[in-house]
Amino acid sequence: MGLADQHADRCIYPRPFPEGFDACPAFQATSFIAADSRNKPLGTWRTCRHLGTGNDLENRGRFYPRCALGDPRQRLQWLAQVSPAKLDIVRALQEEFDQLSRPHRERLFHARARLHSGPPSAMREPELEQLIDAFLTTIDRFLELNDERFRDVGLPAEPLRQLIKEWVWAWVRTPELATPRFDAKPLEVFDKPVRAFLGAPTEPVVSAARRLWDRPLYVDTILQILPTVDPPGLALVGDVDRSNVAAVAQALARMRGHAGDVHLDLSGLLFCDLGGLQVIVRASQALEPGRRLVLHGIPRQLERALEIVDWAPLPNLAIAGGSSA
Amino acid sequence: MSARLEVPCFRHEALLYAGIDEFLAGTLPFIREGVAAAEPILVVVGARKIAALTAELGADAGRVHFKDMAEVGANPARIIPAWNDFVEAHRETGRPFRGIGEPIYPERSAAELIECQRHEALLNVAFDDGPGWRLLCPYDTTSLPPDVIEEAHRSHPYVAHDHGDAASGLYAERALLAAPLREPPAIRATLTFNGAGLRPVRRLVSTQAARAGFTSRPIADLVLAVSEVAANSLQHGGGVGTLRVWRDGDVLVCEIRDSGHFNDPLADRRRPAPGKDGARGLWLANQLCDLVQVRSFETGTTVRLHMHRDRTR
Repeated sequence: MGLADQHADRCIYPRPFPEGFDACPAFQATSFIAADSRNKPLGTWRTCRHLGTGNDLENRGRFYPRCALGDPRQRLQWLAQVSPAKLDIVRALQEEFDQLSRPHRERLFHARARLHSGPPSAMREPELEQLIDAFLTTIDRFLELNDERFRDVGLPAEPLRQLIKEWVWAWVRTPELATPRFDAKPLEVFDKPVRAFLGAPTEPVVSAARRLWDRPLYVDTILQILPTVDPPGLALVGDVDRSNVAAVAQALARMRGHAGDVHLDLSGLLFCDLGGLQVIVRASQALEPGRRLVLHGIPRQLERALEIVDWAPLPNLAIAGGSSA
Repeated sequence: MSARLEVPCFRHEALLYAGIDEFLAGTLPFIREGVAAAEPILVVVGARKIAALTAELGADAGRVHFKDMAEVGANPARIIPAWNDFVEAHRETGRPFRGIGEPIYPERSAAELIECQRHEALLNVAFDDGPGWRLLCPYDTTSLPPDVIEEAHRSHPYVAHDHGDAASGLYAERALLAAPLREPPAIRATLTFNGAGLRPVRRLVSTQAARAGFTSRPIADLVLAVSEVAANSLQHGGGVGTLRVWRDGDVLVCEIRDSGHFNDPLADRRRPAPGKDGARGLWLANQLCDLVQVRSFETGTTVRLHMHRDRTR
C-alpha cells in the first residue's frame, strides 16, 4: 500500500498548481514568495490556502501534503456549507489582493531578509514599521472598498484587519524559512466554516442522518445519491441538473415503498436546477396523505427558487432545521 | 375620452403628457370614470405619481389598486404576468375593468428601454384575443426623446393627447419584437457547451460574477438563470450552445446562443406549472435577473441575461 492510501486528507493534486487549475472544487489559490536558505527570493508560486503539511507519526514522522479541509468528502461538504458562490468571491478577492499587495510583499521580503541576516544595523525597526504601515494602509483601502463582499462571505472588515496586521508582523518577525505559526485564537471571531477561507482547519457540519458512502445509489462526475440511516432517506451530494435529474426521480420513487416520512438530506447540494426542484415537489405530491417528504439542510438558494416558482400548497413537503448558505 | 364606450376588446392606449399636471389631467378622469362604474382598477406607475394620484383622489383612492412600477416592472418582462393576474382575477365576473401602466421613464437604461418598448408591443399580442379591458400607458413628452414618443404611436392602436384621443396612424401590430441587439463590448469569456454537461457553464458564470464584484445571492441567482437557459439550448436548441460573458458598466451580461427557434414571443412571460416542462427556464430567468433579452429567429435564438452589481436599485 502506497503512502497516498494512508492519508485521506492528502492533497492528491500536482504542485505547484498550474494557472487556471480547477480540478479540486475547494481550491483556493494564494501566492507565496519562495526563498533560499539565505532568504533570497526565488520567485512567486501559486499554492492553496488549505494546503499544509501533515506529520505521519506512523511512518517515522514523515511529512505529507495535507488538506486542512480533510478528505474529498469533507472538502465537498465544506464547499456546500459555505456555498460555491462564496468560495468564488473569496477567490476573486484573493486574486485582487495578490495583485495589489505584490509590491508591498516584495519590499517587505527584502526588508525581512536584511533584518534577519544582515548586520544588526542593516535594518531598523522604524523603517520596517514604515513599510508595514504603507502595506496596512493599502489593505485598509482594499477592505473598505470591498466591505460588502467581505461581509457577504462572513469576514467582517474590522476583525479581518486586526488579523492581517498580526499576520504581517508575525511574518516579518519570523526568521525561519518556514511559514510562521499563527495563533488560531483570533480566528474564533469568524464562523467555523468561514475560518477555512483563511486557512484554518474545519470540520464540516453534516446533517444528522448518517450517509452510507459505500452503498451509493447513483454516481456520476457531478452527483452522488446516497442512502442515509437515522433517519432513513437519501442524501444528494453535488449538482442536480438535467443530466441526472432522472436518477434523482428514480431514487425518490424507490423511497415511496418504505413506510413513514421520506427524509432528503440536501446539505451536500452544490446546485439544483428547476427540473430538480420539480422532481422533489412531485415526489412529495406522490406520497399518500399523512406521509411527508422532509428536506434537511436545504440550501438558501433552493428555498428561494421554491418561493419564486410558488408551487404552493405542498402539504406533503416539509423543510426541517436551518438552511445553510 | 369622456364618451363611455362599451369595449368589446382590449383597448391599449398611449397617453402623451407634458409634466405632472397634464399627467393628472389625463389619468384622473380615466380613473374616476372607472370608479363611478365600480370597475376594478389597477394603476402601476412610479411612487411619486402614486402619491400625487392618491392625494387628488381623496376617498376614491381606496377603490383603486396601486402598484409601484419600480417593483413590478424593474425587469419589464414581469409586467405582463402582473397584468395577466389582474385580467384573470376579473374576467370571470363579466364586469369591465381597467388599468394604467407607465413602464417607460427617463431613468431606464438603453437596453431596458428597448425591452420596455417590446413589452408595449407584446401587450397587444398577450391581450388582443382576451376579454375587453382598457389599459392606458402614460408617456412624458418633456423627459422622453422624440423617437420614444414615435414608438409609442407604433405600439399603441390609440393615442390620447390633451385635446382628445385618436387612432394611431402608425400602429404596427408587432413593431419592435425583433429589435436588433447591440454588439457587445470586450468579451471576457466564451464557452461552447453541449450534452457533456452544464457544470462548466455554471463555474464560468460564478467566477466571472465574483470577479465583477457581485455578492453571493446575485451570483447564485445568475448561475441558476444561465444554467436553465443553457439547458433549453440542449433540449430545444440543437444540443449545442455558446456562452459569452461581458461587462457593461456595473452590469454583467451572460449571453446564450443556439441554433433553435421558437415562435411564441410570450414564451418568457408564462408562469410554469409544476407538472409541465416547456420554457420555464426563461420565465425563471426573468424572475431572477434584472433584464432578459430574447430574440428568436429562423437562424437561431439569442438570450442575454443582465445582472446589476448593485441590486438594491
